[in-house]
Amino acid sequence: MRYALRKIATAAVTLLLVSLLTFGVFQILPGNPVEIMLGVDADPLQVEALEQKLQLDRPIVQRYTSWILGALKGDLGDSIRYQMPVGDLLRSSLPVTISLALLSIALTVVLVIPISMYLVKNRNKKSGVFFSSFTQLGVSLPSFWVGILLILLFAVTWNLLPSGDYVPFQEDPMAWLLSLILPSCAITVGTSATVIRYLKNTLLDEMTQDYVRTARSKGLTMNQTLYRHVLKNALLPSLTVLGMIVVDVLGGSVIVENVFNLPGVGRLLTSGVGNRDFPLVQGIVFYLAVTVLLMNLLIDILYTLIDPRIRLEGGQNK
Amino acid sequence: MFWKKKKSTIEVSKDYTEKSLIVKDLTMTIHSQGKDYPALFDVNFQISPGQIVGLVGESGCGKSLTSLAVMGLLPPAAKIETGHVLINGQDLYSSSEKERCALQGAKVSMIFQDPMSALNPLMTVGKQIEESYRIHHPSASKQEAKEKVLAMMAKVGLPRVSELYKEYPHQLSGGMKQRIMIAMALINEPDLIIADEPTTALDVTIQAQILDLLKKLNEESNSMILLISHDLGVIQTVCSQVMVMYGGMIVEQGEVKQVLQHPMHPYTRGLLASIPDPDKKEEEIVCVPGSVEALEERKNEGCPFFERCQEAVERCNVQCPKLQYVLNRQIRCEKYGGHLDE
Repeated sequence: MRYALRKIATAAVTLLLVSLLTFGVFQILPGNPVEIMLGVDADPLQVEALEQKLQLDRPIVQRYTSWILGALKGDLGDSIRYQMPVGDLLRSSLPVTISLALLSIALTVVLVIPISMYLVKNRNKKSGVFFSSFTQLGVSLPSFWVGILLILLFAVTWNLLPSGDYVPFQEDPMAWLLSLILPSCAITVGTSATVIRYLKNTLLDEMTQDYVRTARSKGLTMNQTLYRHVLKNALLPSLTVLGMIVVDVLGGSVIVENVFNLPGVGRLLTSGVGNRDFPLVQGIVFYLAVTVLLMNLLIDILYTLIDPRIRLEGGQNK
Repeated sequence: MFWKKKKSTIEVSKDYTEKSLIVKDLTMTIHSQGKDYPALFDVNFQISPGQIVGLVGESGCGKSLTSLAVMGLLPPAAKIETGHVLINGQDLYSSSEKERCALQGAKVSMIFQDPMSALNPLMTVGKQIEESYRIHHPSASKQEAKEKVLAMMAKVGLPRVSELYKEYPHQLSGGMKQRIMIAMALINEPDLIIADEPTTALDVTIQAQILDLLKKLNEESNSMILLISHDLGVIQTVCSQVMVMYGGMIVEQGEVKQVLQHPMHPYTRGLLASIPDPDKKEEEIVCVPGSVEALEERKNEGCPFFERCQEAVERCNVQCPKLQYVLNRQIRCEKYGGHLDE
């Protein structure tokens, strides 16, 4: 219970700091929304009227407190650019980003374990070395390049899959899935290569541990030892890396969303920053911060589920 | 290279029922930075049922490598040049991986030095013992396996076994973990148990308990034990036979009474003299000067102990002595005659 309270308290403080930081950055950034909307040589009277309408003429502290009070009530304010509540804008783009994230993370998880195991088992053979070099390639390829290549091959040349253009799940589940296959593949190439490289190295490290020799002395084959003992131990540190990737993907992959023309959070964020749309950016950053916090919490919970040693340190058990 | 001179032949009997461990002409190299270095040379010994054989020497003498060779768990860099390891007549290194796995854990098992790191931290100790049983008894039911494990845990002196079964290694003390290791090693009633410094990481009081346990189990089941230790006191109380190793060679080997009461090899004498004597507090502790040479620094000819031996003569640096029968023991020393190259 105390553990939970402490977690919630730190989360609240983190969110407050994040909002202060975004607010501060926006005061420093050159350009303001009124200038962008009305042009550089607009009528000063018009500018003043718009500033009044957007409440930009009020002092900074007042603006910040009114925003924070609204956010506490669940009201993230109105977007300056789109003239509609930020909450509604987020609600319309979140499903796209979340669908994409879920699909690419699922793909990553499905690929990572068997490939890492294969690479570890064949590390001294030519095939293992050969495929290991592919992970290097996967890490270095930019996702937009992979995305364009995939569009060229699967959408343009072979005409097998749509090149993006999101279809909501409620409308047509099959079309939804098809529209997300190429973009999630574009993301997965990089993410899975990163996790594979990490997991492979942790597996190799774990294999030098004493308990592996114990397992072998029982008469387990190398393969059995890998799956029954080494994998679980090696997964722990990789979980953190995977968590970071999940946060990254949930934050919206700006580039992939643009390449595949998906109306997700990433695109909303670029437009918000471009238009100095403070409430919109503040709202998205707020969402990102919450995602990071929730993800960290989830990973903490997963850790305690996998590793019995951590429960003791939390002070709950025994 | 001198270690490649000898070829070993052995008659392998097809009768695997008789308990025995035979290590014959075992010579091994370790591959490091593009070169092969001799790590074990011409190791010969046998263990028969009921015997506890001790293996002593400083760190880096080849004790652990010998034990791993007998267990069939050599590191990838190690290569057997010549020789055989026969467990109940079955040659470990001419068997397939499947045959070897069937032997490991069932006929030969090992108790490792450091119980803190030798257990998988993410698996309950009960499951770890049970795994060992179930691999070799695939037809056993879950219930049967669990009962077997609980019985074995009680036998090695663990308290409140049904609770302990569900606990993780980090919840147990060092002595308890070592008992778990022993239970794991004994669950399939192996003919040969290799104990690699089983008490080094434990408190003195626990040491004595663990040694007593090993001795008792040995008497009950008439099994063979290879006990590796650098503690001559341990060897003296538990073993009937002893081998002293230096530089990858057995330098003196025989009955404990003979070898430790009347040591002949300068190295054995040095080891015995390094034990502090409580009656002679004022005197400085005598020890063997110098330290074991690293594998890469070993020379290829002459006696491996030459640099540190106070009784060495010129000839020792040139020729490696042969293992000779002298006064109820085998000894490898220039002083007692005989050379490898003759």
